[in-house]
Amino acid sequence: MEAQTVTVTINGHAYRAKPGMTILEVVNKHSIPHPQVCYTPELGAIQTCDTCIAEVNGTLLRACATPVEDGMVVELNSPRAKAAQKEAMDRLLENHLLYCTVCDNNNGNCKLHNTAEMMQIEHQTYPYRPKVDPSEVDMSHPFYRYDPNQCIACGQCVEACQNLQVNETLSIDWEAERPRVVWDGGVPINESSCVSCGHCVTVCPCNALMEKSMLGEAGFLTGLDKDVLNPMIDFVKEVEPNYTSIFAISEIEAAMREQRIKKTKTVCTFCGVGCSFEVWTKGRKILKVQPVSEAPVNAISTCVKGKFGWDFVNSEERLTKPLIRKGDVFVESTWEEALDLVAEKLGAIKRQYGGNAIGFISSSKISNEENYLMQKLARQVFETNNVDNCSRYCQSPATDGLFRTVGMGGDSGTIHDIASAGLVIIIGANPAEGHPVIATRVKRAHKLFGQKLIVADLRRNEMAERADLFIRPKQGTDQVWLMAVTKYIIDQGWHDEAFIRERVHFFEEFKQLLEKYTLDYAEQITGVAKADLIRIAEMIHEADGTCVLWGMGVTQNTGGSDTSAAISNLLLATGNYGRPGAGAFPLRGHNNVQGACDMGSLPAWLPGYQHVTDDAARAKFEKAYGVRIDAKPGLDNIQMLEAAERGELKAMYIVGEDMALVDCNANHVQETLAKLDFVVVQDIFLSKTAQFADVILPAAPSLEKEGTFTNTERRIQRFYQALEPLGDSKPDWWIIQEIAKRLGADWNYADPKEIMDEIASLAPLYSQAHYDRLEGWNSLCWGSHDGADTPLLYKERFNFPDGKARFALADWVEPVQYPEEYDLLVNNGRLLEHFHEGNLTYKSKGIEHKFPEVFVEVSPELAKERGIEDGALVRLISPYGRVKVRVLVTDRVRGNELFLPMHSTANESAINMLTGPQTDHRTNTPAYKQARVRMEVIERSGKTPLPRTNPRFKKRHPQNGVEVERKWRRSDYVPLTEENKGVTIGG
Amino acid sequence: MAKPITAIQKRQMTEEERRAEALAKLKVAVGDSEEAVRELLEFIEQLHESGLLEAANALLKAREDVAKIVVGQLNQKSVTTMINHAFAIAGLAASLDPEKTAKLLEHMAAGVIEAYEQTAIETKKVGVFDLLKALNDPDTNRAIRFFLSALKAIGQRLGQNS
Repeated sequence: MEAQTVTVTINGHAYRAKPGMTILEVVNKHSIPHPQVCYTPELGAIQTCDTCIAEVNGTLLRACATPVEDGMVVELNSPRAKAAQKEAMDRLLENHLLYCTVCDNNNGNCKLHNTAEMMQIEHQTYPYRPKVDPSEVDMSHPFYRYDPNQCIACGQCVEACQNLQVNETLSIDWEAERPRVVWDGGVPINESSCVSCGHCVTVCPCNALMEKSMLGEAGFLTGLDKDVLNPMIDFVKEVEPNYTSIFAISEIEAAMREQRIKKTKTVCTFCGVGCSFEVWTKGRKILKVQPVSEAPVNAISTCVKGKFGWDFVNSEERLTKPLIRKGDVFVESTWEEALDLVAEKLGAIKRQYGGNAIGFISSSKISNEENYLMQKLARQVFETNNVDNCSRYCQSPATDGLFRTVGMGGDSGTIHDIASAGLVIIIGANPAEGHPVIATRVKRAHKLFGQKLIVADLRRNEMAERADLFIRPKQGTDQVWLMAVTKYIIDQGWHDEAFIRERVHFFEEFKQLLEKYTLDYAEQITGVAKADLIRIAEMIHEADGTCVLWGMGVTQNTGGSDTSAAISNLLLATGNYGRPGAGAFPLRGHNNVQGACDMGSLPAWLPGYQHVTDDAARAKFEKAYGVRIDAKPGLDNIQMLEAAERGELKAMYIVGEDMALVDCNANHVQETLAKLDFVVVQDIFLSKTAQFADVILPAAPSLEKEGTFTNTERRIQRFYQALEPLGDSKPDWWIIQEIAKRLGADWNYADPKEIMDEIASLAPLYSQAHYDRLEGWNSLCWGSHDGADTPLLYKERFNFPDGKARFALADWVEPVQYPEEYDLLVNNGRLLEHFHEGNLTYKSKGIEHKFPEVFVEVSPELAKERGIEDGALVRLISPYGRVKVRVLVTDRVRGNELFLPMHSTANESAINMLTGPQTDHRTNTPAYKQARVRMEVIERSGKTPLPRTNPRFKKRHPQNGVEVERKWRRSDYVPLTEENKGVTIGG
Repeated sequence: MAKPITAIQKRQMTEEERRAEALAKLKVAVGDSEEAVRELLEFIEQLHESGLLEAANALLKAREDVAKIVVGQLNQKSVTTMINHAFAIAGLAASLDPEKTAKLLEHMAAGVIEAYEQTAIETKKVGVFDLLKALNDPDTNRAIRFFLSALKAIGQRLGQNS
């Protein structure tokens, strides 16, 4: 029988540890200081630096790679261990000049500096030798630099790139005379397959890899001119005092920096993953984003947008004063004027036509507190349920599918379940670009731990390239193959009979419904070969836990809700709910899609998913708000526009949504907006929608205020204020409150904390989400009616009165049919570099450098047929509108399928000029993915719209992590450990 | 009917308005820390009277050039050598047992004073035999042993290094 714990003696003290832990893990758990330059928990033991060597039962071994054994005796500080550590450190320092005081990385968290200091390194046994000419410092990339002459070749950046981000660009040239890091085997960084995720910079233990935004900014002396700075470094070199004196001075300087650089925890706003990290600011300057291990979702992981995409906050184009439409111009005004005008106009409309003549659009980008106030403004002050948010455009079908089957509209587990699943199935989503940090967990598990991956998509994206099985069902037919695979599994007897018997209703009815969905029928409808469908069933059957991840490729269809339900049905039939490493994961697109819905910014739901038809729930809110609440759901986004067209809706108050571009059939939306009597838009930029406003209220982005967001995992996280609001801009909660107060509401929230306390008192799911519970890196996944933290849903019961799930009984909904002349399908979605229409990310110079403008992807076959090349200019025409864009020929798309990313802020190239009015039949979510066009060629060739320095043109260089064995094989490598001494440490 | 517009008419503050706004903000700040400001003014007055303010000003204005000169001077071989000497001597001093050093210095000082006095009285030339005789003197012998031991230790280390 295996013991629960083992006992090890470290430096003479006995410690209990779990079997399987390494010595270093035990040492760190008990905060025993010990050198470990190349060790980062997220990367595991890469064993390149030798500084953690300890004497283990008399043998010198690396503490990071040696598992503890019962009775083991470890000496960290014996003379032999110390000597080995010192030699290891000396070998590193031969590569690195410690000019700490004039180094931008001297911020108290430089691992190399701190280790040298801890080890009391006095002198360098091997004098520093530069590896290359200083001109070879690589400054080519827009966001970071690499200085080989400071690089200690520890390889953490390589390990992170190869095995954590799994972009597979970096490697170490171990066979070179002086090993260094190379990109794609040796090209300038900007010419490589690097996707700018920032992992390498984050894990670098010194200043070899640095954010360019830090250079010359972080230190008190680092901003000096080269002709002062370089002699100063020379001076430090020449004087060569013992390092303790250098450290003392640099320590003082680092302490001074602490005073000047502000480090604020924030939560990323570029997708629904919910990464959190510190943002470092100096005045209004954003020095860098620094991920930390404590971050519950992402730990040290980021993507290009989260790590580097924050320039928009300080953009010249930010709105800094309220604007009022006067004739053909917007005139800057004071807050008094603007708020009075809004209150007067909206108040008058309410008095004349009733509150239902006004529509409120809340935002999936603003905080929970702000979303809550938005629905409260609608329901209490205007007495209408006409409030919705942009999840209508994306995620409502997924929520609907889950509500019908398992009872809660959210991911059933967390990112940790995705990472530990036996099989991941991705349908109609491209997490490598849309949800990059979730994708890293799948890529890592797939590369290192044998996780299997199935991708169903029209487009051969990165995840598809990596998949064990990639299928390309015809557009809008996912529900068919899902049902066929479910039927096949049941026919084979591979379903989880006990699970279904005990926990799911309507199995018999479900089996009857599936009758029609044979493999032959599915092959005929979807175009996916029968053999592949059988393979999918087998893989689900064989897997220890299946997670299904899906996105807009599923939801933005006329049958989006039913397809989402079909996914849930499949998981129910195979018992893949309520256990770790399994479940349903609709990938929320914006940072607070989940929260906006949780807060009741929905026409049919009060905060915490309490339905407006539920008398008890309504009574609770009526009592709290002191008004009567209509039991009839209000209008959703789409219905608001329809009502406006009919003249029933007179005014709209739109927060943070560029609906004039991101709603389908955008031409029509813009016409309708123009028809309204009064439009208020609250935003940080003069968006397309704002151009139709009568009053524009300048809001403050997340870095300039406090609040909470709820990510795709249902995880509630706090973000803190890093900067003052720019100019006269104000936090959204302040603005909404001012409007409410002017209309007689007795609102007196001093800060968002008080709003959250009110939410907690009214929404049971959020009843424990008080600010002190969410302090710092703490977080809470909602999912229990007592408000307890529930990372994994449905362990015991599904969210129905009887605790049982239900198979949803719905047939496949056929996609929209178009006249024959519209011969091309125009798929659409997001790419890595940009967020949504691009109002934020085009403000980043670095991102613009890599991805300056939108383009349409055309398959090589189609390009040949139409006689066009890369850079050709084409017009795409649908029954609803037209756009003009340049062409990128790529085999990511095939045949008559185009791909037009949504990253355009101009009518001329915006995808939604083409999309039509059809919607999902249950939720009214636009069927964006069912757009068809014909193509006219304007120019046959031209300048390629995507610069050649974009990573999409480059080839990755995969290898097995840092490959330290190659270092050990070098003839000049003298081992410091004694693995081969023959001492048995195994039991 | 609202046409989309992109033109923004900025409210142009006149120079006077801008100045008034800045002054208003400043007034509040000064009012909040009146005492500190008064003290600061006094301090500045003193600096000015002593001429230090003028000197500091000039130094600040020429800071780039001054920095270059200072770092340039520092980087001369003689200076870095001197600093290295200073570090070495400082290091030596740090490694000695201060009690022993104090005793040795005390003895040496006493010896030197006594030697002065003796030299003043005894004018007789020291011959070879006087030297040999002196070896027999236990006090002189102890001092010679001290220097011989020191020479031996230095010699040993010299041997290790070569």
